[in-house]
Amino acid sequence: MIKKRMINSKGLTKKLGWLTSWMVLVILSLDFFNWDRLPRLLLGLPGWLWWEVLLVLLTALVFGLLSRFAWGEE
Amino acid sequence: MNWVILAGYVAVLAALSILARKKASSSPEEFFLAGRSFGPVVLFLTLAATNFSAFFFLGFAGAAWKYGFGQYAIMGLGTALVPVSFYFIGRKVWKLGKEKGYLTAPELIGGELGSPFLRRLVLVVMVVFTVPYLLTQALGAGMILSSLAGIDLTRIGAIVIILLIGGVVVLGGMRGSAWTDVLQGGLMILAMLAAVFFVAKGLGGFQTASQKAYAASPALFMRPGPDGFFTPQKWFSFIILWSFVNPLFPQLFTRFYTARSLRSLRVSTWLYPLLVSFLFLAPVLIGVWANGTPVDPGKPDMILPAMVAGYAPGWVHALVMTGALAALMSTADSQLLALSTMLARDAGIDRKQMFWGRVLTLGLCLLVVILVLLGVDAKGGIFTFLTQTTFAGLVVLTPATVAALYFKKIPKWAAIASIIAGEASVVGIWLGWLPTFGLVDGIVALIVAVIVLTGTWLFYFLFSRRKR
Repeated sequence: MIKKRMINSKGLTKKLGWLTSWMVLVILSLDFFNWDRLPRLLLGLPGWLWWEVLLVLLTALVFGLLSRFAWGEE
Repeated sequence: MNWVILAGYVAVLAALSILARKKASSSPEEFFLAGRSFGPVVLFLTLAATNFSAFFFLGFAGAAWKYGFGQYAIMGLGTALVPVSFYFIGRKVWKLGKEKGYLTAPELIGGELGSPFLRRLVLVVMVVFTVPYLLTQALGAGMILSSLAGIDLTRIGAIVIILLIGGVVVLGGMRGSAWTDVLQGGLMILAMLAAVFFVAKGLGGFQTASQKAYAASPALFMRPGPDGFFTPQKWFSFIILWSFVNPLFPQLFTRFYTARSLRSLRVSTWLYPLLVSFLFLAPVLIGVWANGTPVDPGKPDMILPAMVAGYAPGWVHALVMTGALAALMSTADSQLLALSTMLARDAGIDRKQMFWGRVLTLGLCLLVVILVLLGVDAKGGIFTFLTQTTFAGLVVLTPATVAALYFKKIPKWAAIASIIAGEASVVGIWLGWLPTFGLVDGIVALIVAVIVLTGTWLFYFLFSRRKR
């Protein structure tokens, strides 16, 4: 019984890890401080767009770590 | 030259389909799911090729032409976040498919919640809302052939290509679809990279192209963009929408069953955003750059073909158009196969399911041909059309799916009510009866579906407790 509870709470922690990371990335996407501003171009792209590119790459990294360490049983 | 490259592509496609047919055994699981045998590379490429469609090649560039760089964030980051559903939905779907032999989404949702009616309801919703998506693939193919030929071949091109795709599916089933996806996925990535490289070169370099567009329309480089399109509500709506709707595309849901092991799916979880990071920039860049040029094809969805035709060498134009065709064909064949699998399996056909699967594939092709002949079109562009139809209609199924996977004690009536209420809200929004509060249609429908599901469940829970 105790063992089953421990496994369940482990599974819940993993799920919460995935959900929290997803929510943080969603919230970070809204760079409100850059809105309504004419951007400077950095290598042909508006400066704020590099933030979004970085977030996409960060998503790959976070999902990579989660799938390595918090994917669950095969 | 254009037609030689195109003919070469079609020949390889046909050869792969015939080869897949020879390799396949004759069980429904083999025809519909390739015997659940895909390793990490094939699964990743087939997931990407299936999801990146005419919407990606033509729709993104068209939307970026109109609304600017914000398009990258709502599509790029939004799509990069989709693999969260591989964990929450895909993993469970794979397991249940393996344990209970499920082949389709309606079978799983209806089966887990114990309701044949729910199974039929999910089937109807999936078919009705995937047909517009299938239609845009055919129309996109017509636009691409028109760009290659230099004359308007939209209708005839759409008909020829949808029949060709039907042939590929009838011959090769899921194995043929996945093999061609590997070819098409590779070609699509190569074509998009070639398009952005050569168009930039034709415009005087990457930075010059951007500076010209910036001078012509600075609003495209900032938010909220031209006409205030990118509001915070819309921004969050789109970024959230893809994580909820993508797994419910029948063609993607079916892919979850095809993994050989959970490792196959796990690898796609991080490879997917990595691919998206650079690939989604390409159509957006070309769309935005068009504003610094005199190119104006009238239809937003034609901006990418027009830019490539105008600023890249002839052979690159042929290669890019073939790549675009590959992108939409890889989606359309998966959609056809997924729909025919569902119709053969979930509509009560007990015998000769593979035969009926093939017949229904051709039937769906004929339906698309009829819609094309009737002049049904993606008015307002592929992006807007699909956001209001397919994406809004399919995302409504997410709460019922999550209930089937995680909360089996939820009564079947709660799931049924959530789907009916969600779809009613989609219709309500179309008719202007329901406000959206600046959100995208699908998010409003999703909220309605979640409220009805939890509300009905709570009501049932309280009522059944009192009875006891």
